Amino acid sequence: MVTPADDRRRRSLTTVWLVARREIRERTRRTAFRWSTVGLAALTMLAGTVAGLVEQGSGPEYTVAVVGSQTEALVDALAEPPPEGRATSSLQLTVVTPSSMAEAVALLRTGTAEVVVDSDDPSVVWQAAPDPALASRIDSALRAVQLRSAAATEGLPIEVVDEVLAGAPDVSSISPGTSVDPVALVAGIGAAVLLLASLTLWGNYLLMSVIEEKDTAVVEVLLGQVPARQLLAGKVLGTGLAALGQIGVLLAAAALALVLSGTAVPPGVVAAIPSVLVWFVLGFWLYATLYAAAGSLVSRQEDAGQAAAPITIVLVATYIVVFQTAESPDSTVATVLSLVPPLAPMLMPLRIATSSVALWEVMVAVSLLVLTGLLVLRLASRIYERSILQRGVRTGWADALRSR
Amino acid sequence: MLELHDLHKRYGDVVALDGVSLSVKRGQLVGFLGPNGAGKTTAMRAILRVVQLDRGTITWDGHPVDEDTRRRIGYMPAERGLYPAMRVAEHIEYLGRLAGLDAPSARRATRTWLERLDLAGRADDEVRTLSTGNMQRVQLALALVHEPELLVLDEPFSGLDPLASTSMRAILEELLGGGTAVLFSSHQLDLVQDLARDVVIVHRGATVLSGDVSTLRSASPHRFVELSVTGEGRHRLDDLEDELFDRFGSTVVRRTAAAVRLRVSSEVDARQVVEAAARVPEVVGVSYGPPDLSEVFAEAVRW
Repeated sequence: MVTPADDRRRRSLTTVWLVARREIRERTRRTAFRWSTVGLAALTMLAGTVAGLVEQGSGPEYTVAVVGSQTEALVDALAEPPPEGRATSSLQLTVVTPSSMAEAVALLRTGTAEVVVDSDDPSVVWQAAPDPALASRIDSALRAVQLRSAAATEGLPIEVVDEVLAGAPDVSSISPGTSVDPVALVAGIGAAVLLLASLTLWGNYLLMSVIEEKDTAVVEVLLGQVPARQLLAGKVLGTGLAALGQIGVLLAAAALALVLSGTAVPPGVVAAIPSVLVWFVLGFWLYATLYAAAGSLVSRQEDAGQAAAPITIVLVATYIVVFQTAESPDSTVATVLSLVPPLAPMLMPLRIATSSVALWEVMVAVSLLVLTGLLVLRLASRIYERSILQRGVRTGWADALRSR
Repeated sequence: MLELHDLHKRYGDVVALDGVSLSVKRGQLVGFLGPNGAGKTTAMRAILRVVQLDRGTITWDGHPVDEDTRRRIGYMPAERGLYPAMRVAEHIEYLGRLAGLDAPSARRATRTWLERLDLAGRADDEVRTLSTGNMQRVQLALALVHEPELLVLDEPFSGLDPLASTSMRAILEELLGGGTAVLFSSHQLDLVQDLARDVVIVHRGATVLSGDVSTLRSASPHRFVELSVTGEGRHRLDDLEDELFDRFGSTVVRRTAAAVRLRVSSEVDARQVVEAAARVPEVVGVSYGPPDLSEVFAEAVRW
């Protein structure tokens, strides 16, 4: 049964959507929008490719000399996909098989090989200090060979052995943060900067569009049919959707660049890319309503900067904090700052990409952001409703909240 | 019927409305008059609920104006406002949709109004490329696209050239014939006198005079005698002024070399006054009558 209240709700949703659709059309129809999207996508792809190149060159390269009767089995074992640890998976191995131990040691001396492995009487000789990652890889390979030959002697089914070997523990460093993976770093900073830039850019579009409606007085015609709140909601929604579309294109470009360059993508980055969309939605909600309220306070484009100054200051401050956070994403300061609502939309995706963030941290950040968003929405729509028809005068933030 | 009853509104220390009341019936056109700052715009905004009142009621057919009734009102604010970058047809259609029309109806209504307002050729042009006159027409189309039952027009004639003014009048008269109620404000009092049978005059936020224009005019305690002459008659106007002053206590309202307008009491015998005036040689025209609307207005807002 459709009650009058349902009917009203449906109609107000229709109104909000009509306003939003106009904003989307108005925004995306402009050549500037199309070119800036193409340009930014190209930049993102370039950044992604550079990150990929950095990553490919970063894995240490080693030559391993293998001798003994089990040489063949050991070479196979070394070529097996390594356990899912970042530290070992980026190793670039070249395996050589000299005919004798003496020949192998000669390779060590000339520096052609960094390590010799004897498969019969398992022993490992290093040219210099062992690389723990490579040592662990060789160790695993040796044990695999031993286990397989023992199994063959004892008559254990080979499947059981393979299963045991496949279940080998992940090998990784226990002190993350000391060295952040470069792909993660580029992706994390990239995400934070993209979010910052988008919030600033689209927030300012909204600011200008609110002022334009006031400046041209078209807002009074609209208010004759549409309640101020619905107008505000439609403008925020429409601008947000247009922005989301642009960010979607940019993220797709980034993902494409990473795939094309064949980079090994850290799991944090895989999680961070789609989460950017979610953080943008939450961040935009907060900032956009503030920008709209700022726009309603002034009547001329020239006053826009002054009205939006408090918001700009917060965003610029966040920009500085982003680089601090990238250096040590797990520090207490970074953790705390990433929970602060106005900063969370930028700092959280950065931390998710560059370190391991606990689920509770994300939940707290999101909850605080949503709560702040709701509060700001109330205040901002009150300011908007009260000042949108006050033309000619510049209203202060405090005045707009006080007066009625 | 639209009824405004005892509207009050303050902005800080400024009293914008201090007891405005008026009513407009279906098929009736009411001129809403008052000096600048009298509260006309505030009262009109209040009808659309763009302004929140401190006190007073506004009803349409006995019901308070809510979201639903608001969609049956067409509004043209004093400050014209259009999106410069929108195309003409798109703009009109958009307002139609906001007022509750579905997409096909909005398109149909837009086409109709573009034709009627002579804008069909500009349908796909951006609003910013239009002349001022054409922008005014678009503005009017925005108020009319959803076929409102009530039109609230704030200064609809300001900035119109005589031709556009005439077509605006034709449209308003046609709408009245169809039963639309129209409330419009204007400073062009001669135009209001011609167009509106009823007026409401507000001053300092309150209604000071309202009713049928001819009744208001004849209710005045004054009558006006106007005489224009030529040739020899020009030298006799001073004598006439003296004579009418002695006999009827008249006062001169306006005087040029070849014409004079005098005010007398409505008690005075009209025939004697006109006869005295007509005795001046080389008369071009004599008239006797109640005050113009502008004189009624000036008296109402003098204090």
